[in-house]
This record gives sequence, C-alpha cells and structure tokens, in this order.
Amino acid sequence: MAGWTGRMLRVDLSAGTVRVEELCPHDLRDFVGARGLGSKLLYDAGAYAVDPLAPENPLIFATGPLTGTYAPSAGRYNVVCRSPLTGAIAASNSGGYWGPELKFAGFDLIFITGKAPSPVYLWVHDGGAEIRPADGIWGKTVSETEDTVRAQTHPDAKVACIGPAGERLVRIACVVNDKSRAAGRSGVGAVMGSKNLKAIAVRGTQGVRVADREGFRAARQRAMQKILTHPVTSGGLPTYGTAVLVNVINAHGAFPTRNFQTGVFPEADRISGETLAREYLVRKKACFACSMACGRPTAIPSGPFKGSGEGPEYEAAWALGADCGVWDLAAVTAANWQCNEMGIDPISYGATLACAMELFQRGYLTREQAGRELRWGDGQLLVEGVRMTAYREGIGNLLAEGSYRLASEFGHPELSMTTKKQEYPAYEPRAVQGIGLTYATSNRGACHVRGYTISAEVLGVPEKLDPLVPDNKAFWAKAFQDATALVDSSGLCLFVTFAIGVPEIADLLAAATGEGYTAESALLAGERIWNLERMFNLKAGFTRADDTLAPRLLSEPMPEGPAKGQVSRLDLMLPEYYRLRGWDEEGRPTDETLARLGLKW
Amino acid sequence: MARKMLVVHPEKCTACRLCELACTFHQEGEFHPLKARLTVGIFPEENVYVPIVCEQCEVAACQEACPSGAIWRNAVTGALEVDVSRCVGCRMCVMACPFGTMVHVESGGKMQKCDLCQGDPQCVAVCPWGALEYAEPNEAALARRREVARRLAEVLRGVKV
Amino acid sequence: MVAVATVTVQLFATLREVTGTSRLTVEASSVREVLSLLVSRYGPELGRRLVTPAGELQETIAVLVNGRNVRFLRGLETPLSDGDTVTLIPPVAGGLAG
Repeated sequence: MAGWTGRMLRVDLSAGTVRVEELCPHDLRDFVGARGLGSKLLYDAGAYAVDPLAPENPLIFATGPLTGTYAPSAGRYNVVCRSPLTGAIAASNSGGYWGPELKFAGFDLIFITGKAPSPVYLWVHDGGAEIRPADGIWGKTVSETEDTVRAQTHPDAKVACIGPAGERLVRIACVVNDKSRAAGRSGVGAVMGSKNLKAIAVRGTQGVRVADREGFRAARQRAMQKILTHPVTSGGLPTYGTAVLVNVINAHGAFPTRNFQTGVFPEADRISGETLAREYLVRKKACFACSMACGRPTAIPSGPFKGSGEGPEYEAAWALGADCGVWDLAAVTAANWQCNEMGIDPISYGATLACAMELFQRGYLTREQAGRELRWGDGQLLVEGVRMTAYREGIGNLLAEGSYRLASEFGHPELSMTTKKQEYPAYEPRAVQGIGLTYATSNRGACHVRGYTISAEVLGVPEKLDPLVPDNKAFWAKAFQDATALVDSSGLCLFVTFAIGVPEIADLLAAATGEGYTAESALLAGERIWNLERMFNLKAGFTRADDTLAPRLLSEPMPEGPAKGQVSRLDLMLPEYYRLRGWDEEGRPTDETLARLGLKW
Repeated sequence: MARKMLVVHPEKCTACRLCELACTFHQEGEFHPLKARLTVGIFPEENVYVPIVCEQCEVAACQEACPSGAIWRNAVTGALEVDVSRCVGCRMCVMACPFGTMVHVESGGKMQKCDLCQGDPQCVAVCPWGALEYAEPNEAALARRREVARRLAEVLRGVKV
Repeated sequence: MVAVATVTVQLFATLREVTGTSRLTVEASSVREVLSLLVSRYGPELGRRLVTPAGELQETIAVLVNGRNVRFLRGLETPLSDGDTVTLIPPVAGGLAG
C-alpha cells in the first residue's frame, strides 16, 4: 500500500472496544479517500436510516491518500456522518495538522459508533488506540481541552475536539482541531457530543510512502510551479486571507446583508481582508504542507474585545458581519474567536442570529420571548450570543437549533435562509445565478465549497462567466461539483484549485498510490462520489422538492445593486442540471448512470 | 570564501513544515517528520515559529562525543556527516548535541544528521517564503544588518539633525 | 460631445498600496479615460498593472462599472454617468477578467 496505509480503526464506544481493520482496496481505488471513502462506508452502514444523534450514527474521521505527503497543501481530513442539522449526509473538511498525524500513526480512517457510558476521549498512537476517561475535561473550551489532553498524552499530540456546544448537542456545533481549524458545517460536533466523545488525540511516529517517488516529485513540482505563480494562491491568500473577497463580492452586489434582505453592505470595507491585515493581523500562518498560508492569527490590543486567536475568514466576516448588519471588525473578530473556543460553526451561527434579528425586526419574535432586543448591528449581542448558544442559555437555546427550526418555532420558516435546513454562505444567488443552483443541489445542504462556481462567475477561473445569467450554469455546476468531490477525497485543500486542476491532481494520486488514475478516471471518481452522496440522501427521504431555495431568493427581486430586479432562475437551471447529471425528473440517478459509475443501490 | 550554512529567518516561517517533509523524502524516501534532520518549533499562542536546524558547529559536540570516530567533516560542504559503517549506535551524540539534531533512523540504533544534502539543501529549496537560506554566514549577517538599517533609515527620514 | 461625468473609483487590495488610497473621485466620460487619469496621476507603477503597452486593459485586472464587469458592457469604451462607481480589482483579489 502506498499513499493509503490501508488500515482503519473501528471504535465501539458502547462496548468500549477498539479494533484495527484493513480497508477494502476497491473502496480505496473507487472512492479515493477522505470525503469519498467516508461517504461510502457511511452508506454501506445504512446510516441514512438512523437518528443522527443516536449511538448508531457512525462518526468517521477520514484522511486522503495524499494527506501527510508534500503534495500541495496536503493536510486535509473529513468528518463524515449523518447530519443532525439537515438529516442529509455530512462531510466536513478541515486542515491544520491533525489529518497528517493520523497517517503517521498508520491509519487512513477512524470509524466510531456507539455512545460511551460517560465522557471519554480517544488516544490514537502507532498501530492502535485506547479509550480514556475525560473526567475533568468534559466542559472545557476547545483550547483548554487541547492543552489538557496533550498534557495527558504527548506534547506533540494533535487534537480534534468539541467545545461546550458539541457537548450540549447544539445543532450547529463543529469539531475543532489545532485550536482554530474546524470541520465546520452540518453540526458534526453535535454527533461527537452525542457519543460522549470529547476529543481524539493522535500522535504517530511512522512515515507515509508513495509508490513512485520520482513521479511524485515531478508531479508536485509541476503543480507547485503553478501555485507559486498564480496571483490568488501566491499573493491574495497569503497577504489578505480569504476575506480579500469581502470587497470583491460586495462590489458585485452579491454580499448578503441583513438576512439576505439585500446584496450590498455599505460598510463592507470595514470588515474586509484589507482592513483585517492593517488592524488586527499578527502574521500569516499555514496548514501542513501548504504554501498559501491563508491562516490569520489576530490580536486586538485594547478595548472591550481585547484578546487573540485566529480569523475571521471571509465566511465568518460575512456571517458575523454583514448578515447581522455588524460592521465593527473588533466585534466580528471576537465573535469568531468565541466560535473557535465554543466549537460553533460561525456561518450557521451568524446566519441563525440574522434570522432571529429579522424575526425581531418584523415583530414575529418579541423582546419578551427573546429576553432582550435583537437589533441589526449589535456587536455586543453578536459576541455574547456565541456563549449563550453554546450553553443553550436564553435566546441561545433557540439559536442552538439553527435558523430553520428557530424560524419555524415563530411561524415563519420562509425567513430562514437555508436549503435542506443548512444556512446559506456568503454569496447572493440573485446576483450570482450559478451559486444558487449549487446551493440548491449540494448534497450536504446549502454550501459554497461543494460547487464553487463563484470561481468562474466572479473571479474568472478557469474562465469568466456572466453572473447574472442562468445559461450554461448547470454545466459548470456539475463540473465544479465533480472536481471538488475529487479534491475533497484526495486530502488536498480546495484552494489549490485556483491554480491547478484535475490533471495535476490525478498525476499526484497516480504517483502516490500506484493506481493508474488519469484525469478522466479521477474526475469519474468525483462524479461517482457525488452520486453516492445523492443516493444516501434519497434513501434518507430527500426528494426533488428539497432541491430548492428560500422563497425570498426565488420571488423577491433584489432591491439594489447590479442585480437589482433579479431573482434566482433555479427553475431554468435545475431541469438541465438533472439532465446533465443523468438523473430522472425526480432527481434520481438512472440505471444507466449508476451502471456507468459502478454504483448499486 | 566561507562555506555556506543554513541560515534561519524565523520571522518568515509560516509553520507549514514543508522543510521537514522535503528532508525525509530526499533522505529516507518517504514523508516522515520524526526522522527529519530539522524541526519547526511551533508556538501558536506566541505566534512564533522557529525552525531548528543542525548548525554544523565548528567545534562539534557530536563529533567530540562519538567514541568510534563515525562523525567526520565533509571538506566541500563543511557539513558534519555520519559514517554509518562506523556508527555503533551508542547515541552519545544525541546526549551531547545541545540542539537535539541527531536522528535515529535504523533499527540497531544507527544515527543520522543533516549533511546539507551534499550542498543542495532540500529544505531551502522547498520553503515557499525564504525562511531557510543557504548562504555564507557573513553575507547573511550583513544582509540582516542592512535590513535593520533600512528600517531605521525610514524612521530617521523626517528627523532634522 | 460626450458629457464628462463625476465618478467614484474604488481600489482593492494591492492597488491600494500602489496608490496610497482606497477610493477617489475623478471626472471622466469613459472607462478608458478613468484609466488614463489614474496612470497619469500615479505613474507607471500603477500604469503597467492596468494597461498593456498597446493601451489595452491588462487581462488580469477586473474593471466593474456599478458592479458589472465591463467585458459584459462595452469594455474600455463603456460610457459613464454622474454618480457611477468604477471598481478596479487586481489579480490577487481574483481580478482575472480574461
């Protein structure tokens, strides 16, 4: 075995057992790793039929064959399970150093079922693992948890854990590793909490092999030549971080403001990457094997939000900022740090708070019911609300359920800006047509990274499309979705795709594993993974009716900006998308499509 | 002309650890940070990242401590290298080196250390930010003084004397 | 005769460093005139980032008028009206108009 280790850990927290097992070579080859491999195992376990917060829901931590090598930005792993927020498949991607360490311990993947009788953590080391009591650790914040677990295991152990939010089954809780990197979306932290699993510490002393050393060296060199010269990967991301997008997206009238009431935020520059670099950035920081160094260690020297941490990223700057009408960067930054410490997804938190703010604005949620006023732009509420959500205190107990359940509770589910109950990220579908299609069809609910057509529609990569037209967007959505599924399964960071594409990734996979991946077969694997996720969701009860957008985006014309007067033309894009996918009118893969991809119900 | 050595610029390091990976890929044929001849010390709370490399000391504790004469100086690169055929695996070198740069690589206790990749250090080649440099020490020090002087010059620009 | 308009120019990312500002007001009747004005005001350091030696827009810069990329309007000849906003996005911020 090369690239892959070929081994996994099977952990049963109810029985208190840990077993080392071999992975099926066909699964590895056909589903590549990380997101794809985890999804295959989740599907085979029938998790589409279990309650996401029940012990039977498998929680899978999965690396890719390139994770732990010096392939570009090869530090990634995925957390895969059935989501308690959406009920659909969840595969949340994270960077940092945790994933490679699992490879150095000799494992591709950890498969966890059951529920420990009392809180525990998992300690993974070369060739094995033990379940240890988490006495005195349960209840701690993320950084306290990491420090304590390291003190009990090894000073170089890498830790992935939940904060107070995951412990309390907050539906928008995440898993945080290396203190500031997160498997953020879909409430995977709540699944970990439901198992009484506080943390997974890993320390490995082994190496990762590749099949063809000279071929791997050459493939990496070709890829790095592009990454080190592309302006986004070698200039924009290291200098300004992902929040360099704030001004760009706002200029296109696509920066959702006050719960998607408009797409233009006049104060956008105050929460931009340029302003962050000038005001609070300490230095740039990289994940494992990454040359882009988009990590943002930050510090606020004085004032009510004095402190330090990492972030905010573009998505957090948007959700905690424009979506809530907040332009105070210090408040946005402090709220992001709190999200890291509590283990909450800042996208879903900010978007859920924004929903609550609109419910309050319209009088559907009163001061008495909320326990306080929920006014647009209230930075204090923004920051305090994170802890309240994590601990389910006051209004936090409502926010903890996500915006769909919150809005439904107060009789107005249409004010929840979600698809499949997951909150939209930082792009307005009425101003960028293609992203609306990918929001509607993403297998894990609303998501931008699953089919980042912004790349083409706004940034011109690989070519410039007109964001205001729905034409041809179905073609691009499928292309981005399939390629991204491949990248997410390889162990590389998605951001390399600003500079390199499927051919370079296929070359790296082929040289690493010795399996004869070509650009065609690698992209086919991506398409296979996409369809498998779709099959999972169909078995979980999702239908074509769920491939939709919030009513506002379909029927309320954009009030201002370059997209003024526009609505999403999902009605035009979706049928063509199904056709290109080889699905029937109900969005089910046809028998021909399944046969072509080697899939079976 | 003085021999080149590894010069570290910690302020440029981003903690990506590509240096550790390139080192072992070149020397051991796999990605194995524990066997790297250098390590990045990462201190997230202080926002400081410090690569620790072999300093190829002029008076080398590892060489002095070795009882079997297995550590010798390469006259071309100036690097201290391990003659594996003479190494008995006593690991006195590990105890002696104040930087901790001796590495155990083979069962039977054979040791290894940085040999500057025979004059083409891979850690330097792979670093995206120039945090590792292969330079003559006086030239490197002079460049650093020049940089400090330039920053001072900017401050002094508006000052009348 | 084409009317000269008072327009706001927004600069993002690295363009702010080159010019020392994030926004300015200029009088111009077309996008081409805006670029000429900027080049004459800020010199070749900015000029070579915006236009090729042949005077065409650099492929890696995105220019928006009121949020619309000029490649979907009339390119450098796109006319301007009072109150318009012209946005210049450098390649590091994903300009890449080409």
